[in-house]
Amino acid sequence: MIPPLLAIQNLRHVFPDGTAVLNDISLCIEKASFTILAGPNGSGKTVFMRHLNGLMRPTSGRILLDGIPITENLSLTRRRIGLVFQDADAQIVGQTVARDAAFGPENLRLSRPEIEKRVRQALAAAGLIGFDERRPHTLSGGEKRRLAVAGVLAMEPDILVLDEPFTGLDWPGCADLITVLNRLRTGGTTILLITHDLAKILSHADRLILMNGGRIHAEGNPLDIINEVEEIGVRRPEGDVSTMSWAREPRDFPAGSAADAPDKKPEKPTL
Amino acid sequence: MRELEFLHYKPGVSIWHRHDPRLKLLELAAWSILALAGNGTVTAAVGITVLGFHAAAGTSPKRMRRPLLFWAVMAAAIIVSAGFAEPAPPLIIGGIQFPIGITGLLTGTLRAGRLLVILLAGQLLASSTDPADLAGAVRKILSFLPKKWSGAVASALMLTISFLPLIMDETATIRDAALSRGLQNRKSIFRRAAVLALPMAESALKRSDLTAEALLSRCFTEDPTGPNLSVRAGDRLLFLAAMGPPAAAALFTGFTAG
Repeated sequence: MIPPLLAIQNLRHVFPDGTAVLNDISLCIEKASFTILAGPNGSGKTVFMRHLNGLMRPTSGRILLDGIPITENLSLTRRRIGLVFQDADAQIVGQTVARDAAFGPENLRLSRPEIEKRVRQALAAAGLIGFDERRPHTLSGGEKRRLAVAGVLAMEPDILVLDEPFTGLDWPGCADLITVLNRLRTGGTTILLITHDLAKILSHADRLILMNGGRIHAEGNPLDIINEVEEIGVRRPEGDVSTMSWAREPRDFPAGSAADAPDKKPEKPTL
Repeated sequence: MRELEFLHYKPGVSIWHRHDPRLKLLELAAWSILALAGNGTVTAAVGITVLGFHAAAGTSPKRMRRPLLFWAVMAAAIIVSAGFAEPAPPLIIGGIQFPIGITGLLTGTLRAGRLLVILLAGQLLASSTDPADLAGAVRKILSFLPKKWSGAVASALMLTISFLPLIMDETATIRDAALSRGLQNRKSIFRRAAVLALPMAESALKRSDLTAEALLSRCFTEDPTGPNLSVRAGDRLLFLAAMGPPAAAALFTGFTAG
């Protein structure tokens, strides 16, 4: 039997003060799936994410990547499971967009031509062609978030984990990020997206996991469990699941232009 | 504080920006030694050379205003304390004798000048060199050491220069938030500093934590693929231009520290 891409078994994390922030979490993430992990503030979502590539160690339980505990080779795990943090600024280390995207491949000790190839591909996938020499801290919030995604994509991960990627983004920023995620999913990347903002993305997911108080409250097809979200303190967006998206028509990102440039008036959200 | 821009890297395409970072490091070391150990003429020659390269790198004098103001305060303290340390012959102005010495004041002025030259040289290196290239250059220069050691020095340098602007920005945000809640009404500067110190330290630690996690998640290593470094003919000419005036001043004036 082929093991799932990622299997979390009885994961438990207790803080030194005795607070159990993760309590017996067990779930599987299948290859090429698009999963949304939703929960209210303080439900343990971010702590859970940090466990996925070994930034935090569980009190008990384990995480298996292709059937192998992630702690056996943390370097490989971190290459295969890419994290995009909520605070994009914290993730940006390069002095230019291209240098930042190259940071991960450089750490993998790849050859310079391979690094350059991956940087080009990652920037193209994230809609940042033409931004190579821009300073990251001059980018808009949406562009920074896409750069954080590009920085992880350049490492060619199997799973992309995004923590609250829509925080602080306006509609065009969200829409561009959703375009990027859809492209990646089409290309076979497994996506795990952590959010409590279901209205922006749920229609794109094939699985929804609800988390509350460090436990899995429910999991399954978004259509089946959407009505349970308010039980854990997450607002249920109005309408059908199929309308829960801030995406707009797929489009190419023009080179050198910001997605949310002032001269580009976005259309009205589809909500 | 946000406009301080001291030790911030500014990307550019000037001849100095494209200069090999290993030679830049060598030049910084040589300038620092000459400025510290040489006489006043040698220090002045180094200063003029550094200013010339700042001009070539396109450094904006406006951006240097605040660092220079900071230096001026430090310089005043250095000069006055040197004057007090060496009270003879005393300074007399308009028949009034001050408890500070002229020789001490002159010595202090030279020390302040040396400090200025070294600050300007450090700023020239940091503002024109990508921290990743600088780290690569440090790794190459220190290649005789175990990789772990040279990697640690290079990474520390890269991270300091990379994250200084972010920490400055957060510090400024905390200060602005405190000012918007009436911090300026506290008369004592010490009380004002005390109010800001703890949140600033907490913020710096939190930022360090987030940065460390982000670096680890991207497989951070102290020995990554280095930049493509090569010394070209232009680099050799720049090196000669950088070393020529101070070396000539040292030769013609005997190099003795004044």
